[in-house]
Amino acid sequence: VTAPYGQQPPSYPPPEYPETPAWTSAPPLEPVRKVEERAHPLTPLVRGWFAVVAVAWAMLQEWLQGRTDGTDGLPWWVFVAVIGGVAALGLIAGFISWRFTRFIADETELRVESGWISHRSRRISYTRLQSVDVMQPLAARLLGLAEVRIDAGAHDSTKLRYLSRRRAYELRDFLMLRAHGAQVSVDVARARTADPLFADLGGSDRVIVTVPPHELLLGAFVSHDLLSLIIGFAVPVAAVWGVAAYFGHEAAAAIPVVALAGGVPLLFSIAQYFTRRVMAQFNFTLAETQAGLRITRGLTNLTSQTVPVRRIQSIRLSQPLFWRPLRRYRVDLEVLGLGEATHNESTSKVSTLLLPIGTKKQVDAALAAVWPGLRLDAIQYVLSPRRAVVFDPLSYSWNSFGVDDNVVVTRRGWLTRHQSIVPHARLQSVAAYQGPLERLLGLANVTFHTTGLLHTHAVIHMNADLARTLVYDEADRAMTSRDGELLR
Amino acid sequence: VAGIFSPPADRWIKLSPKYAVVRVVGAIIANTVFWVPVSLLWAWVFEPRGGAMSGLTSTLPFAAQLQWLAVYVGIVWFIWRVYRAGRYARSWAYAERGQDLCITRGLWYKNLTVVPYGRLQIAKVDAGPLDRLLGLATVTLVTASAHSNASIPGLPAAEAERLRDRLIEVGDTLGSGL
Repeated sequence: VTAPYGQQPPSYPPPEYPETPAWTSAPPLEPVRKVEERAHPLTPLVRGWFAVVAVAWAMLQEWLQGRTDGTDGLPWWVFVAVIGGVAALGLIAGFISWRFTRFIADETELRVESGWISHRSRRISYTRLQSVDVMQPLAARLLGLAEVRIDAGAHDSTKLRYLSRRRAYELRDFLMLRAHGAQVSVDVARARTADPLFADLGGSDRVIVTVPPHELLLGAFVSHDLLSLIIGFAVPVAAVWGVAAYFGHEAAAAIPVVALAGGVPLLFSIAQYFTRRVMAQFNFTLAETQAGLRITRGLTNLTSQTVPVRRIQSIRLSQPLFWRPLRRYRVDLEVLGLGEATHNESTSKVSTLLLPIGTKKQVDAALAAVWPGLRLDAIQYVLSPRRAVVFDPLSYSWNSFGVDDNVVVTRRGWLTRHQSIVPHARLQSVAAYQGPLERLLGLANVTFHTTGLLHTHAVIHMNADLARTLVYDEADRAMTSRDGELLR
Repeated sequence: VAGIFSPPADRWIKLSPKYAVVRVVGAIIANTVFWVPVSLLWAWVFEPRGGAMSGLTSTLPFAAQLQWLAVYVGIVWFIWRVYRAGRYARSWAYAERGQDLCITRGLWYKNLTVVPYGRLQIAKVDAGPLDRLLGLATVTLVTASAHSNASIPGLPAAEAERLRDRLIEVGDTLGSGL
């Protein structure tokens, strides 16, 4: 493919293959047995505990209210009876649900049978598996249990709760291996070197990046979110104060005191902002495993997410304004079939994050783990023409695109600089559009459509003469390209 | 240098001129369903004597005109849409180019979408009651991306079916999995 714009990207020497990981020696073919099991017997406890805590909390408040009012509240045994009753009901419901839920893994599919009165049977064929994640909410974690969440392309995922932590990891590994076509037995044992509390690593897994808490704090500290939190508080207060002082109103003197009082909830929300982020991303570990990339993170709720590399549609690097002097980046993924994935950094849910914050070196390591064939540094960028300054006074020098044999890279954004990497082979369609003002200046926009809903990959306000070539060439490359060179 | 929106191969294939009728009827329906109630409400609110805002509007020099402002705007907008219907319909076009389908549309905001045949998941033909009356149909190309938004309205029904069959045929031979 010839690129008529910019410089032709250089041809690359064949890459050095990484050392063969231990797991490429396929596990021995064993006859697959049908395995039938139940959730862990402690499951009803985990499912019921939240209701018990909620009721206990409400009752406690009621009781305190009675004490402070001096009125004679309900006798203590009523509280105990109500809490005990709720707990017993929760336990019984949980027990029934546990009693009638079975997981059956056989040659071709996983079945989940559940329901006492109305029977439910869910079947998931191994070939349809998209991803399998292991989540550990705090209550489950305290009891050493975990939830296995299975995504098979639909919008709702199947949840197996709860299994013992070890069993959950085993089942996950088994499912992921089967999804990749390996014939392994359900009870294939995993060579676990250790069973640490904050990690999910097998003997053959290779850690690529870990993000220490101080990096997370740094990223959270120099972010737009924190600044907007503070500005959103400070600006109205300053405005009111300024107006009151200008008109010599007697309230002006009182305003700093009121502002200080208002500062307390502000401090609380700032503290919450920090703790949420750090707790959700705590000990963020990106590792390469037999079944794909594994992301493990979380302090109280441990999330272990497995991303099959072949389902990655695009990668986006972002750099908020204040991260530029620090040379830190954030990396997001677009993964096919992850309907529920979130963009948010502060939750334990399945997310699009590949790296919450990292240096150039760490970003390169993460990118190399996804697409070893990617040569990002060798790509030549074509900038928007100088006249685009009318539309993007702050970002026209960043807005650009670059193409090589495997990927198309687009750059845009001023407050946060984004860089999207889309393999030609993953492109679904290409579009160009042009408004009346852009036509006047000879500018146009080109958008690349992928399956993900999170990002739009676009070249904005590029030279209109190039846009036509880019659109048609990109459509050609989309048809001829294969991602083999990227994946190796 | 050829402009972005000039034909990729030899020429663009235009829609049926009857599509302008669909646009005009669409404008009539939009006006009756949306703009008539809005302008009636406006006229009621800005009624100079006894209206909801009469305390304010009766003092203005152009109170009577203000009352019917929404009606005037509606009429102008309607005339504009009818006047542009023919040109808008003519702005839509498609062309086959090697291994992809190109669609262009728009007068002020011009758009060009290129869908490689290999990315085609579904090709479908839709025809509403008015379309059927005029013998028209819409061909929609569905890819795995929700942003692709590639459809061609106002094709003669026979051509729409021919195009759909052809798209499915080429899509089958060139198809690449996800």
